[in-house]
Amino acid sequence: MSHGHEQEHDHVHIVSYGSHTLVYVGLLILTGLTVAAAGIDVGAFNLPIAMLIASCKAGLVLAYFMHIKYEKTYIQAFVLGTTFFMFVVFCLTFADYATR
Amino acid sequence: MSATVEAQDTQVNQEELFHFDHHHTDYEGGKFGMWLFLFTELVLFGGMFLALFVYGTGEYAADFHAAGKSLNLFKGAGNTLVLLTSSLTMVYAITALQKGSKFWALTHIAITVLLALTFMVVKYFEWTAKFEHHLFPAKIAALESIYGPSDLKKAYTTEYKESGLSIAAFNAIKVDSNGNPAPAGISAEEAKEYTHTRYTRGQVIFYGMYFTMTGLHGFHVLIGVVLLLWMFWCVLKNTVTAENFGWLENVGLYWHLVDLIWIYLFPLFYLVA
Repeated sequence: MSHGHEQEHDHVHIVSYGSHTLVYVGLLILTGLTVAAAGIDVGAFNLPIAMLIASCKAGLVLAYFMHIKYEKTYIQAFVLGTTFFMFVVFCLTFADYATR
Repeated sequence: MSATVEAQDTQVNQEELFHFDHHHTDYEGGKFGMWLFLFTELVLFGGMFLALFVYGTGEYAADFHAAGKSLNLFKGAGNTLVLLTSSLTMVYAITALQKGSKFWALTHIAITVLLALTFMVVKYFEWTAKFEHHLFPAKIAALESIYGPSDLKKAYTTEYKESGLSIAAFNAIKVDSNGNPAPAGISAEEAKEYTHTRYTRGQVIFYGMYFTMTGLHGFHVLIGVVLLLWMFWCVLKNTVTAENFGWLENVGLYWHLVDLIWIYLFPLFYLVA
């Protein structure tokens, strides 16, 4: 790996207009999908499906728009860790709520 | 990798460090600081989402479903598109600046601001529509007093005495089809409205959470507008440039977080509920 390229990765990783636009199109498709999915009544599964699609959108925004895909490992680890512990808090609360 | 190349690496890195010191900026530290702030935002909204999940999937699920239908899906979906597009113009602005085009960076920042304002205008119309149905953020608690009968009876009696009407005339405007008196402290016109629109406890919680969460999110959008205008000024005055764009990136991170929160708010309030 050439040095110049490495530096570019560290500090000035410029994401092209094209790849931003591609991510945007993906987000639009997922938005359409979530509206369409809500129209179909699948009972208890409506919420998990909507949350799954929302999380896919959130993943795209985080990885590309918020640049996490190109960040250093420690920043990626912090983001992943925070999300994970948030998930744990949600799971524990629901474990409590569901068993009352 | 040979020793020579490593030596060169070190030298270049030092030069780079000097370069950044010279501008009195700590690019990486600034970015990491921004992320730490965003984590606190995640916890702030996360707690509210947790409450929303628990109420929305529990005993109030049916109420949430009914109340959610009253929200305007067209406006909600429209605002989702507005925010997604503003996220795109935000990253366009950063790319433009990094590629050295000040003009396009400024243009994209300006478009982002306009989209943020569009979002707030739509939000204004949505809230106004709710106000017309006597749903106000501050009145949510008053609505709940329907379910506090002891105080209500007292207030009802007092209000009857003060109204100077006959008990039949007073009851005609104050009692709904179920024979329940409307909450105290409201006018005769409002009381008539209540005979048509009564809200259950679950619906009251839904609207309470709706106003709180979209309100706090809207507040973040307004702060975003201020930050974006500030960035516009900085790029214009060359304090944020193609070589020193950390601030713009960090404002961008904030702006994307606002979008990220809306990505979850939209399906929870407008679709699933």
